[in-house]
Amino acid sequence: MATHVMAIINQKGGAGKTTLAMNLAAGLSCRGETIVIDLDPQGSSLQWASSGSKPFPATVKQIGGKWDARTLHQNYRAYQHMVLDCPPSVDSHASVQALRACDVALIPVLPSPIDLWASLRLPQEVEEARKVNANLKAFLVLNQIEPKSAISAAMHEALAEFGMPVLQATLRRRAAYRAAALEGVSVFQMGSRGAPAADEIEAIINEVIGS
Amino acid sequence: MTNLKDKLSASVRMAKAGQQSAEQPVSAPAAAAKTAPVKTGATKPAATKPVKTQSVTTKPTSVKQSAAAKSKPTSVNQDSGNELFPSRVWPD
Ligand SMILES: Nc1ncnc2c1ncn2[C@@H]1O[C@H](COP(=O)(O)OP(=O)(O)OP(=O)(O)O)[C@@H](O)[C@H]1O
Ligand SMILES: [Mg+2]
Repeated sequence: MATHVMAIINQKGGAGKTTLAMNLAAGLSCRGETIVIDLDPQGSSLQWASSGSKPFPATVKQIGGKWDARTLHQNYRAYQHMVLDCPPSVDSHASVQALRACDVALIPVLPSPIDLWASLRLPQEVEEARKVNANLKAFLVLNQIEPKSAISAAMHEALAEFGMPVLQATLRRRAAYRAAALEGVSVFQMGSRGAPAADEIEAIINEVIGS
Repeated sequence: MTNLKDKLSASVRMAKAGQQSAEQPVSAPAAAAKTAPVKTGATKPAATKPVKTQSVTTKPTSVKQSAAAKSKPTSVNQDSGNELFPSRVWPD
């Protein structure tokens, strides 16, 4: 079976790409062999996976330089799931290739006007990638939602302006997501502390895989 | 609230329009860079068998809503419309 590839991408730094990528990968690892490809020279995913006292549930590898979708699929065909953690630049070789290589692109966006504005290039980039990756699906994902904040509530309407589907599942702003990185684990490994977050990640996986 | 919704959506429309007009003069080089030929050669990673050593097994179930339920007022805070992150922001 071909590897299912998800790219977590946004032009905006700090939108939650690495947080989403690592936790999604942990959730996916229950379903099959999973690898995170850290495409960001910052190497946050790699550092995250190296910080724990136990092995992270998914393999994490950092790659740089020039590569393309075909070689990526070839090199990691042993895995059932691949999650690409992209750098905060959609112009980069890594991001362009990631959109060409993936089945699904997830675009985390924070409930903030500046983050919205900075993410506006994504629909265009996705369209560009579809010229060579016709079946590419792309979804916006709301991250760091505050259910009681008016700006969080206003996000759904504002995101409609992107002309792109938005996942129903969202991530709330939770201490567990930060603690997970610090402890080098995923929210799935945090017991009851991580349970609400793990439910959110599961909901995203189910929505994406069922899409 | 409605005002904030309208404002946010309008700001996105404005940013979009601004972006489109700003793109005109620079679109040629940007497009050229993006459509540069795809090289199929060098990749760093070697083909490897999965080296996963442990899978996630814990799947806690009954934890829904507890944090949200603990949070204070029942009605939406009137002032939150102007706050990016109201004071009660950490659900767990
Ligand atoms: N849902 C969340 N709740 C709480 N904190 C979060 C959440 N999502 C992300 N964060 C925190 O926000 C910060 C930025 O997240 P992250 O590093 O995942 O973003 P990124 O898009 O990968 O950033 P970069 O563009 O630098 O790679 C981190 O400190 C992370 O722990
Ligand atoms: Mg990152």
